[in-house]
Amino acid sequence: MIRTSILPRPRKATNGHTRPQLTSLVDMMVILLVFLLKSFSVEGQLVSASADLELPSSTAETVAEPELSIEVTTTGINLDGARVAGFPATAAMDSLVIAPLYDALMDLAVITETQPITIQCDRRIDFAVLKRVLFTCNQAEYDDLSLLVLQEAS
Amino acid sequence: MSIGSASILSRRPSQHAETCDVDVTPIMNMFIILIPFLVSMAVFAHLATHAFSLPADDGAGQARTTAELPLTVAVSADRLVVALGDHELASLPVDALGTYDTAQLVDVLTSERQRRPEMNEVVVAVDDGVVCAAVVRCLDHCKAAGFSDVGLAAGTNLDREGVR
Repeated sequence: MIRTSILPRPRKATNGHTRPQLTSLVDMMVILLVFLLKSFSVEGQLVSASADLELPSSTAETVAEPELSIEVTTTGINLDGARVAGFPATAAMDSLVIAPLYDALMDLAVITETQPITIQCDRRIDFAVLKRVLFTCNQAEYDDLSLLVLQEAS
Repeated sequence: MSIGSASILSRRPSQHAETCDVDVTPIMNMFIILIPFLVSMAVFAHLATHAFSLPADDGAGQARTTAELPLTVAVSADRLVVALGDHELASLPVDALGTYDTAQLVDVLTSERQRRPEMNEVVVAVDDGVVCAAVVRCLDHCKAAGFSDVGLAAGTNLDREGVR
C-alpha cells in the first residue's frame, strides 16, 4: 500500500490514550539551556542604557559601574533619566556651556560631592554636541568622565 | 533452561522493548522552571565604559606651544591626521565610502609607541561633524596601540594650520 502522507503515523494508543512525542521539544530545550547558561551572569547588568539610545560599539573592557549618567540622545539631553535640554533649543545656543545641564549639575553638586559621570551618547550624535556636554561637565567641575559603550563580542 | 549458542546481542528485541518509551515529563518540568530563571538572569548586551581625560586648563600664557603637543590623532570628517608636536606623521584620507583607514592608523600608532616606549599619552582631537561612533573607534585604536592615557579634545584643525 502506498502511504499518502509524509507525516509520521500517529502512535498507537496505549491504555486508551496517546502520548505526545516530546523528543524534539527536549532537544530544543537542551539547546536553549546551553545558550542561556553561556550568557548567564551572576551579578546581572548593573548599568542599563537608555531605551532611545543606540550606543557605539567598542573593544573596551572596563565594566560599567552605576554612576551619575548623562544621556545624549537624538532628541535631547537627560541627567539621570530626567530631561534637562531638548535639541532644537540647545542647538540654537551659541555658548559652549549647555545652561540647563550646567544648572542641574550644580544643583547636584550642592547635595552631594562631585562624582564620576558616565555619558551615554548615541552613536549617531555629532561630536559638536558631545563637545558641549563635556565642556559643561568640565565647567561644573565634574572631571571624572567616561563614555558608555556596547562591548563587542571578543 | 538452555541459553543456546546465540549471543545476547544477536537476539531479536522483544515486542515489549520496541514500545518502551522514556518518560520525559520530569525533565520537561525542570526545563520549564530553569529556562525562565536563566532568561531573567541572562545578559545579552554587555556594557563597558571608555575612560578618557579632558585637556588640562593651563591658563592664559601657560598653554603648551604646538611643538610641545603630545602625540595627537586629529579626526575630521574627511581624514585622520597623526601628529607629534608640530610634525605630521601621517595623513589618512577617508575612502570613497567615507570609511577611515583604521588599519593604517593602528600601524602608525603602534610604530610610534614602539619608537618611544616612555610616551603613553595620546590625544584624540575631534572636529565638529564627526559622529560619536567614529570617536569611540579612534579611542579603541589608541588603546589597542598600547597608549594608556588617552585624552579627548576638540579639533585642533592640524591639517589646516600648516603643520609640517
